[in-house]
Amino acid sequence: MIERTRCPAGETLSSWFDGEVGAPWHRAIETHLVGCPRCRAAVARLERLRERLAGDPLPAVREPPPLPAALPRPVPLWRRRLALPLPAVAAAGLAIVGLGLALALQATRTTLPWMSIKRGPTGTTELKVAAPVDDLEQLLNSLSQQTRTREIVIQLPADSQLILVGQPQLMREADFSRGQR
Amino acid sequence: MLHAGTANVYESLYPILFRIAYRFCGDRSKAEDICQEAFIKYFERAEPLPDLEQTKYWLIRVLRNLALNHEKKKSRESKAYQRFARDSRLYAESGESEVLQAETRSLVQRALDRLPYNLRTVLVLKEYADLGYRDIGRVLGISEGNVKVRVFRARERLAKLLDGEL
Repeated sequence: MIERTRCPAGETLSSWFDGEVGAPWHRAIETHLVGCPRCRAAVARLERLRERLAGDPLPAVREPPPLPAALPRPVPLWRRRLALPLPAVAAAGLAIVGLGLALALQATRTTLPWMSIKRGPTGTTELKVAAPVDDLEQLLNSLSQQTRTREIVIQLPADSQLILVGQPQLMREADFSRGQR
Repeated sequence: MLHAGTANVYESLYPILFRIAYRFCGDRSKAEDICQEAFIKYFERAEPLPDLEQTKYWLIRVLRNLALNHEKKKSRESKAYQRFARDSRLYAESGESEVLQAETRSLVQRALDRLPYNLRTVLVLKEYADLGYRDIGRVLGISEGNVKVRVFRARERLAKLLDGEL
């Protein structure tokens, strides 16, 4: 709370004058004003200024010109004329082309898996697919949906770190059959 | 809330916008031009705003930008003209016309014109558009605290100008 002896800052007094100070502070400033002739004079100065601004004659507002019979129709965005500086447009164009090329390169690198098909002498076919790790799950799903039996070997990168989660199937089966042998 | 129909917007908001525009730029015909331009921009909008209050804020924002452009143009032209007319007898005529033009404006308006533009706009919106600090901040894209400081500084400077009768 504002002490009785301490005057509020000029900005605070000005915003109090505009009714922009919250309730507890508003009351405190009112109380302060009662005992502070200096702040009362400052408020009186603000009042005089406001009266002078409000009393200043304004040129009479002429009748607004009538609206045109047909108001301009909204111009679609693609038909609006744009005034842009040529260097900025050129720079933006180059940036867009560069970005497009970079995205295209990135897309071809990551999304297209490497693939090779090799036919063995005994009629077998060896298919090698290098897919990104992100697509591994999708690849496994598609392979698991195959109805015909195939031998599938998945070669993981050398630096892969595998963590065993759950109990391996073989161990579970061995546990289940314990004592039946 | 009133629906901001075309005619309704024009008739309801023109007087207040003219008042603000005149206080911004201190020139009657320029204020009328600015108002017209602001309304044309509004009517060119693909979709009208839902109510008069929002429309008023939108128009005041446009008005303020147009007045700022006018201010910059005026400053550029004035500097260029002074350079051109420094050694010319046209200078005397120009000076005379400027004095005559200034005489037609009130003392208060001349004092307002002398305020920096960022202080003038805030004070005009407070005193002539009767907007609160929050709304002024929204219109000008500044914080309430900034509005508070600018209003105070504008008042200080204006009071000094008027006390010294410019």
